[in-house]
Amino acid sequence: MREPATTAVVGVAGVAGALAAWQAVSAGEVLDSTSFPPPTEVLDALVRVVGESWFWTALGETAKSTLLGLLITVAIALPLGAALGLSETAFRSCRLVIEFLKPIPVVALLPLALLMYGTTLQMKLVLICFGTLWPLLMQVIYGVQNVDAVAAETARAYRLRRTRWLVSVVLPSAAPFIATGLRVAGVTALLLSIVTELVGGAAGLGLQITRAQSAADYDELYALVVITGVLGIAVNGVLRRMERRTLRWLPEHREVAA
Amino acid sequence: MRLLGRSDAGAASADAREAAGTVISVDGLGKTYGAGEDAKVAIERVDFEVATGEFVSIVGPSGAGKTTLLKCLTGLLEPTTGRISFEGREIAEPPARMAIVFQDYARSLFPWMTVARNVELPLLDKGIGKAERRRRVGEALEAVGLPGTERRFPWQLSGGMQQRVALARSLAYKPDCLVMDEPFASVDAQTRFELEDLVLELRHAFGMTVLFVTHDIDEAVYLSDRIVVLTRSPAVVRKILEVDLPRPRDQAATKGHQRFAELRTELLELVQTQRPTSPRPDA
Amino acid sequence: MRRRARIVALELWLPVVVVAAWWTLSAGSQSLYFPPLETILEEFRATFLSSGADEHLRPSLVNLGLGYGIAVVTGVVAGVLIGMNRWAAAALDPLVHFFRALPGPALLPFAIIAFGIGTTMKVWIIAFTSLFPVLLNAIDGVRGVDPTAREVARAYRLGRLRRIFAIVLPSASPQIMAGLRVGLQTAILLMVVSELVASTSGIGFFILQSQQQFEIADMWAGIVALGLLGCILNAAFGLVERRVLRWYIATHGEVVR
Repeated sequence: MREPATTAVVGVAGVAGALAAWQAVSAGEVLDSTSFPPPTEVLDALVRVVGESWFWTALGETAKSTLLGLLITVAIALPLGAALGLSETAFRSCRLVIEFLKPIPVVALLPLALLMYGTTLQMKLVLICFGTLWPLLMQVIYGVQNVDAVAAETARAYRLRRTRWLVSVVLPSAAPFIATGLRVAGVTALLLSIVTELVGGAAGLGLQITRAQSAADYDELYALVVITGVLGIAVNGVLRRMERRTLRWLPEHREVAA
Repeated sequence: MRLLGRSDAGAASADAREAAGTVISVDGLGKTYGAGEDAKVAIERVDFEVATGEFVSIVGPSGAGKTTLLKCLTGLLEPTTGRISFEGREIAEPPARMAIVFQDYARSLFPWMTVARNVELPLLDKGIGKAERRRRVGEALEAVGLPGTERRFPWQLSGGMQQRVALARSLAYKPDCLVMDEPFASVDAQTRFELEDLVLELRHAFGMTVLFVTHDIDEAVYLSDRIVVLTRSPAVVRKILEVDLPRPRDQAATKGHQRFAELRTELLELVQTQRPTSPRPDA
Repeated sequence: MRRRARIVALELWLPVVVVAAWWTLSAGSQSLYFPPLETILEEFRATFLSSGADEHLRPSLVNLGLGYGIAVVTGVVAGVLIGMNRWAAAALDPLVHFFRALPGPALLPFAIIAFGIGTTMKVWIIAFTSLFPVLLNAIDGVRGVDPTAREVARAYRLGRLRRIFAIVLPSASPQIMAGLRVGLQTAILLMVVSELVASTSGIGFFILQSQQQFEIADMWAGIVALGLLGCILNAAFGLVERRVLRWYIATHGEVVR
């Protein structure tokens, strides 16, 4: 059995190898080194960027819209999903509507949202909420619907009151589903935030990337992209850890799509 | 050490088997997991032999390293010390003339394949033609009492039936030796009796040597010619029991035999009590 | 029979009411943002259901098909190869995770620098971004193959290729399908995004152009078109998934989420 230490070392070696390859290609004659700066220049730019105040403002904007959008979505999805999950009639009525709204590429609404709200935070939030609500809603519903039948019967046998039933049985049982939904929603919220900034021109990291591109500050461009990637890893990591903790409450019989 | 049941109803075949020789030879086998301080000695030292056509059970308390022993015997795991020979040659990987039936049939049969495909799988890429493969599959399924199930899927069958499919798979392979790892542990009692009798029938019909790992005392005594009793890990051979019950065995008659009760009690005591301080493999 | 009819009615009443409400409430509407549904549908028919479909629908679908197709083939093949080799998996893990976590649209400026604007850029960015969910799930799926399954393969001395196609691939297929599902969402997203920036064709471009020219009904028609496309593709994927994973659904009750 390989130890985690060896795996980590090999992983670092892999990254180092990729960086070395990048350096070699960039330094060679194959590509124009202005448009494709080597990792050393990108690293310099990265260090420089992190010292600038506009960067932190932009990061703040992205973080703000992501978190706020997620919060709003959760505030709607949890109660609504619980209500729909517990009522067969309500669920069946709404199912088709949700299933139709879910696969609509939210980006298609960007021009409309820009028209209605301009490049404001509100525009970002509308898109983020629309894009994250439906999948999360379905996950909450599934979680509530999938309360263990034996647990349900035990609760009925002991005549648990409604609120206690919800809090002590339904919520823990649905938690893994909700946590998975939350992870996906969080990642999507960040993604949509970046899209509204990059394509729509709202304030945030995405806007800075576009700006760097127009100003032909290519090393800054690459640095910002790398930082965005790191941000993505951070968001994913935090949410995954939360998800894993809730999965421990129940026997781990489910796999998660990466 | 190689004596077979004397009061054997199939005495003629017993003599023939004795003359046939040793199929499996385990010589000073040991297996240690890990190294240094974390080293876990699963098997300290095991020696025994299995003659052609014998039915030998391996029994021990849980955690005795029975599965480890089995994996070494079948070439799935490399022993730390000692040698295992099968048909005269030392094992480095699973031998061709040996077939294994695993305990967890749900995971050893493949749910995306039909019953026929599952049974046929070991025969693929071995130079056996399609018609011949189909014939063998049909025969094997017939032999285990599942004719006509070729196009079903394992998950459509009951637990007992699935284990029969696993048996059929090993039969189609036409092995000299059948190795079974607690095959009936996950099956209900009634089905277990049926499957036990099935194994005995098949062994008689196909003349195979059988190595059978189990924790079920009654099962071991009912099925075997000899029983290798292991101690808890670090495991050694506690004793090798001769089972001199008459064949053919019968669930009601044999288990009503007084000798059955005696053997059963002796085996139970051997398994349940602590290992002796100076272990020596019994001859 | 009556029960069946009740269930169908229960599932349909709300969608019907919503569409009907939209229709009636927006009829004769003067609002800039919400033209009459009737007008929208008329524009939709004119643009996408007639011969005009070629102009915008086809380029979008072609790019999507090519990009997603490349991602799927590359992702599955590479995923299997990498997943079966512990060293390769360990070495490539951080890189794969990085690109999987990076929001795809962030690569758009880079794509434009590298490939200009046009089909190549679009196919590249669709392929590159949807590759990683597929790849990651394929690697995980292969690594997660049941040890008992592997043992059976060894016990019965199966050859390498047979092992991969008869055991490893089917065993990993539930996880791989989950990756393909996420990959499809990503592909659709990048298809639209790449058409909203520096493009002269495609449904995304059509929506943007309509918005810029204040042809709001046309814009909505484009949105409806994308919505339908999303629905149809997802439904089709669901059908394929249920067929391929019949055995998994039978033993687990549902697909990997």
